[in-house]
Amino acid sequence: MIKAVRQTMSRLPWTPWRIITCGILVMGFYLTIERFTRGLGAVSSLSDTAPWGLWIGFDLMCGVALAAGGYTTSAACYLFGMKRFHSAVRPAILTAFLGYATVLVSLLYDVGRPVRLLLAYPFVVQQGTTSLLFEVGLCVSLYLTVLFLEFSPIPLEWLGMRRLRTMMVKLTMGLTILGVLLSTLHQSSLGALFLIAPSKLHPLWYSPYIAVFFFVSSIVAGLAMVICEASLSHKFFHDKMDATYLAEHDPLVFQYGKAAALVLAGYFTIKLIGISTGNAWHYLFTGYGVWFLVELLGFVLLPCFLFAVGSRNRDPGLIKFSAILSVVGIVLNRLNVSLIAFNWHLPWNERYIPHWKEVALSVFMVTCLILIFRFVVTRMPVFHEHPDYSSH
Amino acid sequence: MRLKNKKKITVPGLLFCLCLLSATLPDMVACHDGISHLSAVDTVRPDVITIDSMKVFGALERAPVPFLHDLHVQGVLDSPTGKNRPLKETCGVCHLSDDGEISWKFIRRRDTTRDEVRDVFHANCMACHEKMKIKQEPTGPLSCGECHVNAPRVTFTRVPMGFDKSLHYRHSNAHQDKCGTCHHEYDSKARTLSHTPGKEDTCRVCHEKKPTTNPVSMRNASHRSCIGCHLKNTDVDSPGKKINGPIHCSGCHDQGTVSSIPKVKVLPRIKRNQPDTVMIKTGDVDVDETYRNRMDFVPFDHKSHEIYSETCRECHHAGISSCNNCHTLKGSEKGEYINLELAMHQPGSVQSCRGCHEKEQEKKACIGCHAFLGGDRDYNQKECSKCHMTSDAREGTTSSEDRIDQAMDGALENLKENHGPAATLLTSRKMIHATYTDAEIPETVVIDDLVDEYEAVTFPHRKVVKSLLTGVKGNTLANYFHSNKGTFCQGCHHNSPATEKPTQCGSCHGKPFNKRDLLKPGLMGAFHRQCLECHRLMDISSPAGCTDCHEKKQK
Amino acid sequence: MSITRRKFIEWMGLAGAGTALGPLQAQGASSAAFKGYPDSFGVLHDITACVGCRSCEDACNRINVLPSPDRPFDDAGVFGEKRRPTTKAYTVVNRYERREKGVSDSGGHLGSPFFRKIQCNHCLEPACASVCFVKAFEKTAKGPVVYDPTVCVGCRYCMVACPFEIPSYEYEEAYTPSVVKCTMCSHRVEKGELPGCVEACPTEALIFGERKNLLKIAREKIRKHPHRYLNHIYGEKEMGGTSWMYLSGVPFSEVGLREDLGETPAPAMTSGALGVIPMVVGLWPVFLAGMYGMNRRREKIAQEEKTRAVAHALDRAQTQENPSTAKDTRSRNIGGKK
Repeated sequence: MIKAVRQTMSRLPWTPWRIITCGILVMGFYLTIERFTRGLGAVSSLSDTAPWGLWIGFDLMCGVALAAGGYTTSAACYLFGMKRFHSAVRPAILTAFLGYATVLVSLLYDVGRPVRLLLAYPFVVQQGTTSLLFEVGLCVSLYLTVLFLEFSPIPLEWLGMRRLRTMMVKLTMGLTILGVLLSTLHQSSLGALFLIAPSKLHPLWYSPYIAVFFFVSSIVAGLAMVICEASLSHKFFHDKMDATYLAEHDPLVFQYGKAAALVLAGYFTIKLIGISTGNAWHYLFTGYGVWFLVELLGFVLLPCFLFAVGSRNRDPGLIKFSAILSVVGIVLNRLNVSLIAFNWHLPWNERYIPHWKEVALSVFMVTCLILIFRFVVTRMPVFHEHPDYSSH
Repeated sequence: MRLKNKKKITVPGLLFCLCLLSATLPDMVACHDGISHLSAVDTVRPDVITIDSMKVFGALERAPVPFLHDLHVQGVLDSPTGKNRPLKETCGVCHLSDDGEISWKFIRRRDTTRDEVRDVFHANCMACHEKMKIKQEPTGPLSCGECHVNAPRVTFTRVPMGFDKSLHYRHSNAHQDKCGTCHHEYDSKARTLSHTPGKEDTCRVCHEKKPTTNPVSMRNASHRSCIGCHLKNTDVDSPGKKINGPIHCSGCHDQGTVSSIPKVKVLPRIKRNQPDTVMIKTGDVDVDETYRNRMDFVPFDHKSHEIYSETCRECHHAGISSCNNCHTLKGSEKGEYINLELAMHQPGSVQSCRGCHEKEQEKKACIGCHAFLGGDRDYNQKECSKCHMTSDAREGTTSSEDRIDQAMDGALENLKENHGPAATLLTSRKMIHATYTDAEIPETVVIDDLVDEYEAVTFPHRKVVKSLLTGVKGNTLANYFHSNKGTFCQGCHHNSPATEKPTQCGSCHGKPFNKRDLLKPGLMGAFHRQCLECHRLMDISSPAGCTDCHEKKQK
Repeated sequence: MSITRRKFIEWMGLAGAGTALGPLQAQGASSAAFKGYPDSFGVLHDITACVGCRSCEDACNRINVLPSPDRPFDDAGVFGEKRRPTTKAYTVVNRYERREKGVSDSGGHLGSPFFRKIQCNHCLEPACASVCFVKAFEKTAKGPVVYDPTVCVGCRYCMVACPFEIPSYEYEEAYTPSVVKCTMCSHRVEKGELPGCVEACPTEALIFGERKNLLKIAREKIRKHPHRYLNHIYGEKEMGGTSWMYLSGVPFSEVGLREDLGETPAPAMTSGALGVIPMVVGLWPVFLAGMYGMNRRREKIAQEEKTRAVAHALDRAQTQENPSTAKDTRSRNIGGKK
């Protein structure tokens, strides 16, 4: 027995990456136990003035935004008639599904009574319909279901469950429309969550239009994430890809780059309008103002310009770089709204700085996501069409 | 076209530069003013003159220049040119003079044209700075933006200068009571200055705060006359430079320097034929009957009030004349429509009788009681007669018609009435500095209405009364207005009639948090509030905690 | 946010039960402002009368059976730092030094500090209640804003939303953490008793009563002592009005109360966003389905044109090869299409 284990061990290639991954997983499991047995206080630096930390600011806010690729791509392909990007839909849906699943798991870590969340207290016990969080919760849970259904043909093909798979495929159109609807609602409402706190969020970020900002920027995030994810997959899972996927890869990048440039230009404009309506220009010359300009010029205007140049010159490298820039920009924006520019009126020593255990658990979540993604794409027909259904 | 390696570095580099630029931009935009290198210079100074002389030619092209006058005077005195010369001549480095009259403009007598005046500044300032720079001496700025700064680093803390009685006495004494040395009148026809003894007014009657030319503004007049005189009386020819009176900005406008001028302890009265006592009358002769005064006039002890105020201006504003000249019954434009009634009774104004008297109530010895009496007190009928005194002879016999006649007479009468009815009335006033006898004042009061967690309090009643009384010993204001023995009790026993046995606290203050009367605190609240507030206001350090008054109950 | 309004929303939800998103109706854009429940209670805190004895903290601790404090309630040393309500203390008193200390030389009284009690202000339209997605908070008709720990999920959105930063969370509790805040002793208020802190206040710096009466009293105090109080009742209008109100002699910002909160009640800030949702739900599918339909049609036409072009090309090729048969082919194609 021991001998067998040792043999298996020796057969496993212990690359440094795998060792790190294992480390993260072990740490994650340990911290999970600590979180659920010793409480939030033991693993986080959340406080009475900073009730939302990294798990909301990064895992939820950024997670949802970056998983927007699912609805943007399926909408582009099925609703806006860009059929030639058909091969990009499955990876995007998979990413979105896993992203939202991670968001849900993170929320279970973050809320005080996760069992009640699992039992759907807000929908079953008492409905707080005046809360935007209610809407976010409802949309996210429904959308997760929608994503699961959209994703389901992949494992069904893999498992060879033909009839069920055909049923699911027939639902595609309805699910896509529902998916776009739900995404519109909750992507914007994540921003609208902060409408209630004008006294806590810095005036440069607070705006009555914050919901629109979040929605428009989620489209950017979706487009940019699809480009990034496609490029990364191209690099690591090249062997899993079929000819269609590879042929559609470059046109997809250009088309998405062009779209991203347009949406970013619009986003930049409405951000300026946001400053005007709040008449917050004078804040631009303060420390927070400089930081705001870094976000707006460095991570909105610059990628907008580079996307435009990249798609005109047919330069996939530049577009990929801009996509990374945009993704960083969106992450920055979400972190700014929820953590950095939030509670800006408090002195620095009372401000929230994440506990290392919070960071470790976030890293653990992302690692799990990547591992599951890897598991799925290496086994299931994601980057290639299943030979039995290639006529789809 | 693929992204070349070079480009891969360029783009993040560009981004980084952008971030860096946006971070440092605000610093770069901010100017550094000319004195930033002189670290020893105080940033809060009394000698900042803002040079905006070009204003007379229209809008300024560049920011006005903050100029540190004392720093430059010192610079001249320390320089080889100034070192061994009489003081007056050193002024001449920057200021031209005609027949001993110095022009306080910079190296010019009048503002001729925009270009000329600008060149006077640029040529002379820069020439001197450059000369010193060559000699490697510490000096001022040499570039435009260092002088013309938008946000000067130095802040101007000039305290307004004015004579108080002590300073006035030091000057009048030094000049053997020759008032005409400073006080003058301007004869506009003859265009000369003259002096009429007994008619002296304050400077500010003619020399106004706003910049004017004829008569010159208070600022120009005082600088010209004061500094001119101080320089004249300086031992001009000796290089020892013995100075009589300040000639630097800080000498008059620095809080520290001004407060270090010794005060004359025993001050004789200012001699300007002012009355010892005066009847404050209504001034309107020709007003219709509706506005005629039916009140008794107020005898005013001018002499004693001179002691309470630092300057004549405190009550008389700028011009020394009787109140009713401007504050008429009806109100006049001259008096800014503050009619006589308001002028005397306006709360919160230190120039009105009532305002000033109420200000006195804020003193530590008085505030303990007076804080509870409220600031909205309406006129108390009984209180009117404290000031509007009716002489015994007139009482009962004078009809209101007669009084109107008297009012008209009074208005025509000269103010001088040192031995007139005012003095008689004033001497008839009775001062009381007493309350009931020890036997009548309960020595202690045991407060045991609310005993719950704590033991009863033995309140040293008589001791408190005595110490309050001691606090106002010799205070004529208090002793006149505390009209009878019981007034003193009303300080704590508020709303009670002034009697030997005033109402007790429990008579009005009952159950705490009474729903029917939430405005009035219950007994416990009343005790705590009154005791603690009074102790706080009168700066009595004890009690520091609950058990200083009542022992904690042993359970 | 009123209970009636919420009930109304629920009914609306039931009425629209056919759609899954029914309960999401916005409570938004009604033009009538909610002025608070009639005859609801409140507390007026006269900051100038507070002496910082901390009896209120003590009483609160006893009545709500809270854990004993780290330092005893008669220890004035706690004033060294600015404290806030925690899970162990629903209310705390802080000391604020006077800014204009020692300006007047006539009396030492200017130097003495101010004390202010901090607790939940029990807003008329509470932010915490409007953002709670399980309705764990409720503004009762008597005045207190109460919390129900049996439904709370622990999302802590209430803490994010509260403009006064009042709710506290039991982070150290592993299994059953709750939000903790002052209850205005609602269990006592229901019985007609005073809140614990009010009852214990020896200077009656706290007065409990009907809110509308408290406003009258506050105005009367200001009128009687114009020099003692600022002409402002904090909480009369702040955040749409609060049940707990304050009088002060110095600007409220100097005693730690924010003056930049505005007069908009919290629910009004989100009503716009909530109001858009039903519109999106109604119109978005129409727009998207329309897009889909248009694209389908475009594709179909493109497909047809393509087929026609191919046919045409074939036709021409055949005509060149064999002119006689070309006619037949074309007519057959057209016939097939019909």
